[in-house]
Order: sequence, then structure tokens, then C-alpha cells
Amino acid sequence: MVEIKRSDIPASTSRDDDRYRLVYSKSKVYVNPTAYARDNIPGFVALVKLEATNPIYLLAWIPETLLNEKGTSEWDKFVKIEEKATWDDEDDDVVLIDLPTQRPESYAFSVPLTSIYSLLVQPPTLSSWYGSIGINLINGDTLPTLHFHDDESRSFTLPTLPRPLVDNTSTYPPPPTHVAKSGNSWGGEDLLSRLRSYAHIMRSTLQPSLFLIDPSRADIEAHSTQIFADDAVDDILAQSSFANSHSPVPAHRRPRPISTSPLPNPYSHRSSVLHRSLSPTSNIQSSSQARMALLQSFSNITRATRHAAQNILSHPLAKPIVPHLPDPVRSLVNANGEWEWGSWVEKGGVGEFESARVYLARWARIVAEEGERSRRREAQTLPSSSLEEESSTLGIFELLHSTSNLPTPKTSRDPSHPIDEQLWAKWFAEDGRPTVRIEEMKREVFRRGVSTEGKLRQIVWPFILGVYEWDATRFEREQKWDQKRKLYHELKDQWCGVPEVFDRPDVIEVRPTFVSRFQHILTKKVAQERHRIDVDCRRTDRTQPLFVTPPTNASISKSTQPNDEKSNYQRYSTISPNMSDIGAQSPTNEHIDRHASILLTYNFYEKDLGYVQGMSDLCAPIYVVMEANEELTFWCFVEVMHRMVGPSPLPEHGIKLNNWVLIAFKREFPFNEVLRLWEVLWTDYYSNDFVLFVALAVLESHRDMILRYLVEFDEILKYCNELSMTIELDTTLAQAEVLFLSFAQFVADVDRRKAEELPTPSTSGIRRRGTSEGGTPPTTISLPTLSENLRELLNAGR
Amino acid sequence: MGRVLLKVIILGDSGVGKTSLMNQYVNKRFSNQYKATIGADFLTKEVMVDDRLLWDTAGQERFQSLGVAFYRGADCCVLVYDVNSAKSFETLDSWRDEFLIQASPHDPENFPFVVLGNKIDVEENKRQVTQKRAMTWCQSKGNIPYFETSAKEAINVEQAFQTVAKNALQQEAEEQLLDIPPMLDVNLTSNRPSLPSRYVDYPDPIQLDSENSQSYGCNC
Repeated sequence: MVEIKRSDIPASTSRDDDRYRLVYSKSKVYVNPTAYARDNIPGFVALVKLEATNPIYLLAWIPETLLNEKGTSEWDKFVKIEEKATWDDEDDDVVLIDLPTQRPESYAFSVPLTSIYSLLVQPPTLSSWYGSIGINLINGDTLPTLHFHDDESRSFTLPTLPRPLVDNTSTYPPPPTHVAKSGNSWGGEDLLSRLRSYAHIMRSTLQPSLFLIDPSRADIEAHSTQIFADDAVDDILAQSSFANSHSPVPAHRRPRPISTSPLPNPYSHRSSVLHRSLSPTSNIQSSSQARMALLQSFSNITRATRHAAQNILSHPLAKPIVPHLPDPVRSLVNANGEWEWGSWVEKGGVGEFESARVYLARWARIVAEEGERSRRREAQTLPSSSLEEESSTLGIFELLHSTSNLPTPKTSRDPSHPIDEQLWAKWFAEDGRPTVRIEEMKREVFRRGVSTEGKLRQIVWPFILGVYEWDATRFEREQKWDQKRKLYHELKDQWCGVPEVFDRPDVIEVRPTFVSRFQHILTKKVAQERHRIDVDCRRTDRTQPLFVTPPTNASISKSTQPNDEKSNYQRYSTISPNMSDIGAQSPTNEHIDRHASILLTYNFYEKDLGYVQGMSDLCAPIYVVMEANEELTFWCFVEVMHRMVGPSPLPEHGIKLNNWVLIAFKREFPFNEVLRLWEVLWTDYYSNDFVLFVALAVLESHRDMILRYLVEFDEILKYCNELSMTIELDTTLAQAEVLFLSFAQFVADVDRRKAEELPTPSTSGIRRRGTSEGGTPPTTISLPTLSENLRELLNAGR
Repeated sequence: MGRVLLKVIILGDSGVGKTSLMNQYVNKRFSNQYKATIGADFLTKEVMVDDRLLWDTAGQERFQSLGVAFYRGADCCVLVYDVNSAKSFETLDSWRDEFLIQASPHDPENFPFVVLGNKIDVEENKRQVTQKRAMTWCQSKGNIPYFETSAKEAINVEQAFQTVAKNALQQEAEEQLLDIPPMLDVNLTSNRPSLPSRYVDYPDPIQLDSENSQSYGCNC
């Protein structure tokens, strides 16, 4: 037992004889007086107890310099408390300390918990490496923000207390029962969980980073109105017999009863309007009572939400967003929003509630995007030196990063300076032989894209795709091209002008069969493929000038122009001379026909694959870029398909993929952006599967929305479908690059650490899962095993 | 009023107008710029008493291997053909069989289908499948309700999908009964209402000259 007399008396308390007992301490908590890291002041954050009949707890921060002044014994006390694993308040080993005065120059402070109004908790993110806690006092003062440098802090670097591998800030804060000292993901959380033993701490639902200390009744009301607690409806249904009764919700879509788990979800605050509307004895027996409870809950939502939403939407900042809101939400802006919102909620019940999730997710996304756009607009007005900073902030990906302390890679993309004709010409010598390596060319295409001016893409694309050989002279290339052109026409002549090919027994149409799971054993059906190609080409990119048909005058009645109408549906093309079974389809034109011819020829070139819906989407942009050059389009398409399906075409594989990947985001971006995206993907600069990183980047930017609001597979699919034409291409590509680089770096780091550990076989036993070795915690965090599939993502260049 | 989520699958050959029908019903819009559906697509439609989930599938049968997951739990299956294409009508049999195999409903004999003959807005002399032929087929398959529609001109689409909803709702009610654990069977038999035969209701008479035949035109 160490006892120290106080020498300094805080101004706030005047009880000279009181002793301060140190109950909690944490080192390397910094105060940042300026924006410069060199000015940061390290210190200890501490909880101290003023021993009295009614003990008073104080939160204090003491700079290291101040402790140093007092000598090593004082310092040791703080370290001792920090290392103490248990936090038994009645511990005999009481440590008493001096409490520093609140001196402005040292930033030291100590305040009773009762004088704290709220804490602003910011867990660590990629953009701010260290988590922080801001302290607001009831009198309106704000104390210096505390930054938790856990990587230096003793309690977080002690070998006996390994940091959890996974960042659990999403389930933040953890329930007190789970808290072992320093078992938390970061120091602030540790402090917060400790504070919970001495004060009522309530997390605001209005602002999730705000934690109220001993909130007043009014504050509780204002900050706990959680309208859409994710599991509220589930709980209501699970607690009633409703779940097992003749529910209108089909069994497979009904929420799983939560009551089966013995412990309540510790992360749920049970404070939403829905939860609170449940009486403690809500074990309602009859389903009609359950229904009543449910409807009452919804009427509570109506009231609370209306108030909250009107507040939000009447704010001037919300004005520009209002037109984007889904109708039910927009109706709130109206003066009679009360009635409209009410009817919207009440007429539907559970169903409306679920679909409201999708609305909310969309709404949240629109708000976020609006914010992002204005942020970018602001950034653009800044001098160019800050632009570098801007691009580096594009990659905020906490998931990958939280597992390893690796620096955030930066994007190399520079889409505002695309490769132009002069630069391209510079890369070739007189004889057409390149002066730069193909990797360099691809890197530049990846970084900058190809200028849309002139016909540069017509030249560059065959090089990126490998239709033209890079290391060759112009003459050599022309010779090889002549062969390819000839081969195309040979392939085309297999069907063109040979109507019998569609009538041959082996290619006769068969009706759809049930062996669809074994596609590769299906009989070839050229006539059927021809029909599909024809139908699909008639509905692919029809807004592109080449594919627009002369518009028919709709005002002229059908009877006066029967022949014109008919001829529009007629085929005159080579592809399907017999039009009896085409049915009524959109009119065609020369280019649509030629496009279909290319796909049908491909069918003869790649006999095992045949036509797969979506191919027309992949081929049409090439046709447009190649300006109707059939042979070039064909051979570029062959290379694109080669990239899509790999050397051994197994259509089953491709089909299982999401449409995003299947048709390379063709329908998610405007046509011109599709061209820019594809030339980046085709370079295979970083990875042959870069498209997956693009998909990941899109998902990542919508991560919060998806995780927060969407539950059902249907909802997620619907949400993703609706992202079409809303994705910012260059931001997404930059994010995809950062994601790839982070991934590559992560893999390299894991490999390096594994290699380092190999010579010491004794440690490998410790790391094995489930081997506790007499309770000794492992000294190293087990390294993830990377599957071959994951490693294949690193393959680049073909 | 509670909610029923109905899952309706729309099947048929490529280009018969599945997506157009779905969009006409849900969004009251027609566009002749629809793209080939790849894999599956879906929309939800909220009606007074229920929420309809419409799954639109790709017409190319190699995508039907996706089907199992998408078909499961379907409450009604809409078979679509193009009245101007005999082939698209002749494959209805296979689409029906395909569905029954993939979705494997409890009672395949009585599973509700609805057949739609689409694109009736196209001039009469292009028509390849007569109404009589289609209705004969539908009768032979257990009196499947039949409608002739135009997604483009919004003819009969609403009426057709009302029947779809009605039959799907009935199906859902039966599935509910089947979902109840066996231990309740004793009570069930006494409480079970006598369910009307599903196809007592013949489809509404087909009115080709519907007053709804105003054109929505192309919205692009």
C-alpha cells in the first residue's frame, strides 16, 4: 500500500485532507495542442476515486512531464495500475496519488465524472490512426481531446495481452461482462468500458459517436429514440406467438426467433421505440394481441420519426437532397407530412417496414454521395499541391488495414491526362517497332486511359488486347493481320450463305431441356443460337448512332403504312433469312445485322462455348469503337472473351458470377465510361482479375449502407441493381487500385512474417489453434492462411 | 392489413417480353430498349394487401442452372410466349416442366401457373398462334388461366397480374398450412377450411379491344 499526501489541490475541490485513490490508468494518451505531431504531449489518463462517504470519481489526464517531476515512484504507481489485470474496487492494494492541479500550460486536468456532460468517441480509422475521446463538460467547456496511442501504450503492447486480431469497433462498445483489461480494440474503448462502472453511459442514437454521461431524462428521451433498431421487429415477432401462428409472412422469410439464444444480444441497446413499446410481460399469447402490439409499435414509430424527420428535412442543408428522396420520405417535407407518413407506415405493417430499409439505405447513400461530391468540389478549388492529398484519401479501407499496420498505398491513376496521339506515336520507331516495353504501355493505359479524340482507341485497343503483336514491325503486323482477316471470313463462310447449316440434324433446334446443369453435353443448336443472337442484338445499345434505326413515325396509323411497318420487322440480312420464328422484335439495321454476324461467327470459332447472353453487351462497344470494322471487332472480341472465360471455356463458371463481373459492369456505367473502364481492365496491369477489385471497391463504398440497413438477399440485390449509373468511375478505379495494392502488400507481409518464423519451430505449436499450452497466451497472432484462389488474384499479364 | 410477400417467377423464351411485362406491371412503363436479361432480375410491386416480388429470368436456358435458388419458394409461375412466334409457344411445355423440376413445389399437379400471350399489339397478319390453340393447351394443363397481353400498349397486364396475385395468394395459404409442424396435424384437420378448387375461376374474358389500349410509347 502506497500512500502519498496530496500537495496540490485542484481548484474544483477544496477538501485538503482527501486522498485520491488511483483506480485506472492508461499510458501514452496524448494531447495535441497544435496540428504538428512534434507538439503532442504524452500523458496518462486516469480514473481516481476521492474516498469519502459518498465517493467522488474523477477523470484526469496527467502529462508525463508532471509525473517525472514527482519522481519514479509516482510514475510506477500509474504503471502498476495500468498493468493490473483485474479491476476489483475493493482490492487491498490501494494506490493513492496526488492529483495535479488544472494548469493551463500543462493541459493537465481532473474533473468529477458528475461534471461531464458527454464524450465524443472517435475510434481509430485509416484516416486518423489514433482513436480519440473529446470531453464536454456540463458548463459548456471542452477539455483537450485525448488521443490514444495504443501502439506505444504499455497495456496494449504487453505480451500477455495480445491485441485482438479483428477490429471490433463495429460492435462497439462491448458489454462490460466481456471486458478483460485491454481486451478492447483500442484504448478509448477500454477507458469507456471502465467508466461504465462508475457512471451511466448512454450512446446517443442521433450521433453514434456521442456518449452521454449520466444523462438527464430529457436527454435520454432525445438520444435514445432509436427508430430502426435492426432487430426490433424480429424481437417483437419472436416474443409473440405471432411467429409460429398463421403469419402472413411466409415461413422462409420470417425472422429467426431470437428467443432461442439463451443470452440477449449484448450489443442491442433495446432502446428503440419498438423495443420500448414492448411491455416487460410481453409474452403475448394470442396472435391478435401480438398484432396489436406490433401495430402500436408502428404508431410509435410514426410519431417519433415524423418529428425527427421533419427536423432533419427542414434544415437548409437538406434542401438539395429532398428531390432525391424516395417518395415516402419526401412526403415528410410537406406540411401535412404527418398524415402521409402515418398512412405509409400504417397501411403496410411489417412489409412496409422492410421495404423502408431499402429506401433508407438508398437515402443514406444519396446523402453520403452528395456530401462526397461537395467535398470534392471544395478540394478542386484548392491549389494543386493539395490534390495529391486528395487522391490519397480515396482509399479508406479499414477492414484490410485493421489486420496489419501497413501504410496505405496510393493510387497512381491520372485519368485527366489520357494518352493522346502524339504520345502514342512517340512510342514507335520508324518501322513501327515499339521503343517502349509492353508493360510500360499497359501501365500508362492503366493510369491515364486512351484519349477519345480521333481514332486512337481503334489503334490502341488491338494492342492492349493482343490482337496486334507488340514486339514486331509494322510490316510483320500487317502480314499477321492479313491471316487473321482471312480466317475470319473462312469462319463466317461456314454459315453465311449456307442455310443448310441451320437444318442439319446435329444442329437442329431442341427445346430447353432439364439437363441445364450439364450444359456441355447439350447438343449444339445453331438455329437456336442464331435466334438468340438476333433477338439480343436488336436490343443492345440501341441508343448508339450505329444501332439506331430510322425512326418510324408513330403518329401515322398502322393501316395507312402497313408495308413500312412490316418491313421494319422483316429481316433482309444474311444471318437469319427465314424469319418465321423470330416473333415480333425491334426493327433491325445493317449494323445490328453485322454485329449479329460477328457473334454467330464466334459461335463457329469457339464451338464449345456457343452464344451466352451478355456477349452482345461485350461486343457492341467494340463494334462502335472499331467503327463497324467487322474483322477487327471479331478478333478484339475473341480476346475479350478469352479474358472472360479463360483458356478452357466452362460457361458454368462465368454464369455463377454476378452480372457486374459477367459483363464487366457494362450496364452499370454510361457507354463512354464503359470504354474507359474496359481499357483499364484489359491491361491486366496489376491483376488479371482487376474487375473483382472494382466490384469490391463499389461494395466497399456502400458497405455501411448495406450492413446497416439491408438484411435479406433480395434487398441487397435490389440495392445493388439500383446502383447502376450512380457509380463514379474514376473514384472507383482509384479505390480498386488502392484495394489491390493493400491486398498485395498484405499478402507480402504475411509471407514475410511466415518466412521469419519458420526457423523457430517451437513457436509454431503455440500458434496452432486450440493449443492453449497451460494457459500461456500465444506470443504472436496467428497469420492467416491464404488460399491459392486468393493468390491467383495477384497474377497479372497474360 | 398484414402483408404477404408473393414470389412470382416469369419464364419464357428469349425476347417474348418478360421484362417488358414486369416493367409495365410494376412501373407502368414500356421501353423498347430493354436489354437481354442475364441470369435473373427482379422487381417488387406493392399492392394494397401484399407485396409482390417478381423474378424475371433470362430466356436462355443455360442460365436456368441459376434457377434452383431463384425458383424455390415461388408462389406462382407466369409463362410468357409471343403470339407472333409459334416456337415460343411450343416451348411452353418445356418451361413448365423445367419450373416444376427446379422449384419442386409440394403439389406440382395443382401449382398455379398463368399463361400470357404477349405482343398482341402487333398487326394481326403476323400472328402465328391463335387464341384457340393457346386456350386448348392451357385447358389440357389443368385449366391454366390465359391472358392475351401487350406490354407495349398496357393491354390486360394489370388484369393478368391480378389473377397471378390471387392464385399466388391461395398457394401461399396452402404452403402455410403445410409448413405447420406435424404435431399440430390433429388440430389442423378440424380447423382446416375447405379450400376451393384453385381453378374454379376461369380467367376473365379476353378483351382485345380493351379501353386500356392507350399507348405508353417509348420513354427513351
